[in-house]
Amino acid sequence: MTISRREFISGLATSALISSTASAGALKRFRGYPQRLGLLHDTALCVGCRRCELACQEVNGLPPHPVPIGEAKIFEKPRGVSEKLYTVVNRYRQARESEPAVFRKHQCMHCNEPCCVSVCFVKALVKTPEGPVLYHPELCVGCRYCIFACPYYALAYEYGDPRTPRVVRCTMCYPRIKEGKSPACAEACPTGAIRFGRREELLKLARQRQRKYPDRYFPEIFGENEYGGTSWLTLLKLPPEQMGLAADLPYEPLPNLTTGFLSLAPLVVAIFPGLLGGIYAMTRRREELARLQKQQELERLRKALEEKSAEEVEKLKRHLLARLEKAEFDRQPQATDKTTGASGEENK
Amino acid sequence: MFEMLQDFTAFTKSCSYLLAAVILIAYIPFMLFLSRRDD
Amino acid sequence: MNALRPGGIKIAPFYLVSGVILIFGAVIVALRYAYGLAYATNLTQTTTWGLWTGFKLVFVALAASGFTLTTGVYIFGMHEYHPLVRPAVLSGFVGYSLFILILLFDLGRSWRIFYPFLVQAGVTSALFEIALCVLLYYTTQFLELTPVGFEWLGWRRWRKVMVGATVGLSIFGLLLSALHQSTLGALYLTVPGKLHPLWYSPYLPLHFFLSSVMGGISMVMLLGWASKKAFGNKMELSWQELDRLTVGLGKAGAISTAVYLAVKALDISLGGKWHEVSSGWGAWYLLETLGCVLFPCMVFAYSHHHRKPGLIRLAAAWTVFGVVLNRLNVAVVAFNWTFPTNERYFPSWMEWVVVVFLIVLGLVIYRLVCERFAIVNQHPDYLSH
Repeated sequence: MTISRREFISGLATSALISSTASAGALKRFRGYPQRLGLLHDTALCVGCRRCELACQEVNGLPPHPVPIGEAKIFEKPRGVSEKLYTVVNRYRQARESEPAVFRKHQCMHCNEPCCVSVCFVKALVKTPEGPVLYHPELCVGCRYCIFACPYYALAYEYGDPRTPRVVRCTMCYPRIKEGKSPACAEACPTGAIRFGRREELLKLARQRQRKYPDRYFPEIFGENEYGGTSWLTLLKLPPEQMGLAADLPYEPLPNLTTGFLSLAPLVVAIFPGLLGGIYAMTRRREELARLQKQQELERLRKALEEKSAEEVEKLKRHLLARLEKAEFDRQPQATDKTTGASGEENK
Repeated sequence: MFEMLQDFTAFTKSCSYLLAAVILIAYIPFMLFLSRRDD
Repeated sequence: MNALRPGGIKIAPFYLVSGVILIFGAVIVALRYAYGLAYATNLTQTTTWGLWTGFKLVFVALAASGFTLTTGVYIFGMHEYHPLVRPAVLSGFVGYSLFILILLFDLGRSWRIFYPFLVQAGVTSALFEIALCVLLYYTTQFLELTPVGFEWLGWRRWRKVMVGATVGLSIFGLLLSALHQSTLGALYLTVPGKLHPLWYSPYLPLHFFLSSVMGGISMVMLLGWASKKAFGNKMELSWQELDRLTVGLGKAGAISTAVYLAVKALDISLGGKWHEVSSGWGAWYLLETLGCVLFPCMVFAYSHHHRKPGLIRLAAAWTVFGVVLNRLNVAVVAFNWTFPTNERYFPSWMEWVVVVFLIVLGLVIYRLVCERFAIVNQHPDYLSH
């Protein structure tokens, strides 16, 4: 289960096609919790040692990866997160001449306006003021809409568990953060490729680095604005589409694509009963008028017969017979059609 | 009042769903009252 | 006819074959719950919604027979279709039952399905709205069918009360159906990067609703035919009358498919997707929209004009196939379309077995109910005015 770059390239094409649907929230910019924490991943410093993966597995009680640290074979195929691996390091360019290989660590981006949070129909996923997005397994029904929706393919599911399957993902080591420690990956990283701190501070740091080494990085900090921005920021050595991410992602949060439409639901409830009730009333009225008209015609006929005006009766008779014939003709199948008859059985 | 769009949306949607339910229920006696004259 | 004879040993071949499939299917479902989704499905971490989700969409789209017919008969006053209302509503109810079952099988923790209503509601989620609407609509359809039960029980007053609520229930039914048919499409609004641009659209909810209308109307036509074939004289509608109604419904089929096509064409132009149409995926898209919507539309129109009920039924079957194809394209085929083949999701044989199991279950229930209750015939004590 990999995250090849191609599925993200499609994102740029399709996202560009989408016009933002109007939603009340679009009238104002939401800045998010001001003190929230984040991480900065500097891919120019990442050497692909995978100690972060190991630390993550230890902290989360996961079995260690069968392929030991330092074994380069593991980078041959890009990997995705799974129920046993909440974060992965992938290689995006092999070492050549004077240039080292390029790696990037992938995990939940802890978005500012997370898609997973907005699509959960039991609010099992929550964005905390501290920054991490948290999951509550005691609420989860297992619909997996969150996994479906995440544009970064950052969530995984314990399909193998029949009783208590959970959605699993990087939690930014929330319990550790609450104790004042750093997430395990940040602590384990030997080169400082993962820095932990307040998102605003990390953004300043990232911009500083870009100014200091303008040729080293892709000019945009990934996660500053993409889909509303993320708490996990990445300084990319190569353009995003070459590093397993998508280029030119819109700044609008993904939940906005749905909220506009969902606002229609209460509107439909407000409009349809009136509209349909009105149509029904008009239908009834038409039926009433038709019935009245028929009654009047019969009345006329009766009166004419009573007054014994032979002319009137003849005229009415001819008129009604003609109408009857026409009605019959309209209802009968045409002579050319051989499909039905009293005993007719039409087979497809 | 709201730091996040998500919080704003959750609040407005909750209000709107409840209001929609009230509107729907209010429609029933209203429509019945209007159609009484036709019967 | 081939009804079950209580106490007797004669069972119709239909039930024998269905019985085998049902038993086999039930075993697979039991295995799914015993060993988990990993055992029964090929779902991956990157493709977490698969064949069962596709069929969730299919069942709901085709169960639209209920609201399309009640709307036509009770709101627009087309009373000549009244004999088809009960079969349509019953099949709609059965369709939604299948939807609920396959949804339960797909959920990681099926037993928690009422959590959004009992524990905590995620109101920002499209899935919440769908759950709410389906719950209410399922109840509505059930209420629409209660007169059938009351006739069987002989409770005249209750029957009269429920019959009086018909128009209100029809309005409510159309309201709810419009909402959840379209919101099922809205589920996919959040993944523009994962669904092929020809299928992804900001108007996907509208497409889903319109195709459910053409799918529902087509199902009514097919159902009428299948019921008459199965029940023969027990069904009070004669072949001649049924053919006449079918021709009338053919007009609705023609219009609904035409409207859908117009909206799809505009979707291409609004999205500037012309270049996509000439790609390889474009060919598949054209097969679905031109091949399975435009052609049946033309057949509907032709055979309505020349009053050929047989051809109309062909167009209806074709349309149903087109709707199924569309839902499966959105859910499985065009989803994660950029993945290389070795990473793509292909359903497991057990997933297919469960789907077939549910379809057969639906047919069996429909047939059983029609044989025991006044669906295709009027109850002798309640012959209508």
